[in-house]
Amino acid sequence: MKNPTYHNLGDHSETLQLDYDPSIITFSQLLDIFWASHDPAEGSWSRQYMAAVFYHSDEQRRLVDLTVEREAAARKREIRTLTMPAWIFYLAEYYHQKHALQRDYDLMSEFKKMYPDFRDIVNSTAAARVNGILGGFGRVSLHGSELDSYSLSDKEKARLLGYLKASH
Amino acid sequence: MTALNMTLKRNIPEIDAAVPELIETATFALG
Repeated sequence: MKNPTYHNLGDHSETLQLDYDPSIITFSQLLDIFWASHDPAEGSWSRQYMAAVFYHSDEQRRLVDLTVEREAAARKREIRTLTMPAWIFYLAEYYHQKHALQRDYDLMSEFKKMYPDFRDIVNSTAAARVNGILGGFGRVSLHGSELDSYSLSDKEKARLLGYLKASH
Repeated sequence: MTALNMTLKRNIPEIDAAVPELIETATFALG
């Protein structure tokens, strides 16, 4: 089914796709985070919320297969998380994007001034970072030194620093 | 367009202007 929506999902699954710089983080490191972030032996209750990794190349598939074997051995359980080729990725509707950021009027106002087109906010690394910080996933040690690179006002930078300190 | 030109042309965050030369894509569903 083409162009799924939240209320008409067809056989699609809620999925995250990230573009990354392999000189900073490797696919293997991302896989480690993926396996640590869910129980791959549990299986999925629905197509909408299934667990799966979608490979984009033969090399990614090789690394996924290796880690499936590793996880099965470490857990002594069958891995039920699916391995599938990546296909067409459809963006979720805008009201599902950058959820924590969209609920913060002041920060969202500053991003709207920088990016009048919401598509640019969806693709912005700065917006992704701020969204994560608002969600409680920021760390002073990781993100404190890069707050200046988000091009936000001093007032909002100070507020984000407060979120970072509260996340410890 | 270089990252510097992008920064000058539009008031975008510095972190967004620093586009790496090589980008790869990964896709996951976490249930």
